[in-house]
Amino acid sequence: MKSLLNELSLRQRVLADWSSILAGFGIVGGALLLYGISLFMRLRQAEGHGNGGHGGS
Amino acid sequence: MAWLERNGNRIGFVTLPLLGIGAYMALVWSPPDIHMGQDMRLLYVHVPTIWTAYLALTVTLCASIAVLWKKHLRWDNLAVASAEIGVLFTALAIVAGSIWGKLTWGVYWTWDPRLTTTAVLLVIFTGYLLLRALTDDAWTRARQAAIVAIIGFIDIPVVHFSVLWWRSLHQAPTFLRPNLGDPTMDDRMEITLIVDTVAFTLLYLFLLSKRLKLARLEREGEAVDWGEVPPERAQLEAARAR
Repeated sequence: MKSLLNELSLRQRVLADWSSILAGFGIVGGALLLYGISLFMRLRQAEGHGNGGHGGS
Repeated sequence: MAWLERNGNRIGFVTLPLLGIGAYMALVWSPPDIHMGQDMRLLYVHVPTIWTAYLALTVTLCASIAVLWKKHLRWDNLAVASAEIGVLFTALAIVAGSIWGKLTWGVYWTWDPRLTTTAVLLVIFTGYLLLRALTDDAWTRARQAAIVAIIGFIDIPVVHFSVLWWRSLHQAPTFLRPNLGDPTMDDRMEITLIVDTVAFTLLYLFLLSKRLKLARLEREGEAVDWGEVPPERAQLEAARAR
């Protein structure tokens, strides 16, 4: 019984570690992706503005 | 700068697969650490993000010195483009570091010298970006921002060496560690860290190429709004007239 509890506790620890690791990778990757998308949108808007379109307004 | 703008997409094509390879190496190929176990995989995100932040803010420093020295606004474009990316990477380094801190120290945040000086760095360069929004005049803005960037940069060596100068929870630097010898890492860990650092550096160059173009277009657009000649073109014409 005790070894089963130890095994469960170890598995829980490994699961917690991996969820934190994946959260770290996911947050950094996601933030960079969002920044990239926002950069491209701002760029497209500025290009439109430069062509006399005033950002499509 | 023109070279970077022209070759931005090429850099992007190299960066994307390298980021994928780096992620695979970090999550699968690299072995777990003998003390920290799987937790150390976060190092493959944390170290490259803070390295990229240092690099971006160093470029901002050099461009800011060039603004004051050469008195040309294209250096201001480079300074602001790099500073924005530097702020993003500093924030991401803090987030990745906090997750690592929770796993190893049991808390997301503590007022440790390394963490505190990094937070100060983030505040300084966020302030730098906010300051730019306060002034309409391009030259005043460029000059004021350059002075803030040069003073703010002093914090970077303080961040890096804080773990050596003061008693800190944070481990000593893995690289650039005077008096501590070569990095003591497993070969596969070291290769993974190098691949991820190169991938993040290329990503920085790709983002910088796009942000530089945006800064140039915004400056030209600003001048069009005011019914003026774009500042860079005006400078060029003034130089030709002389």
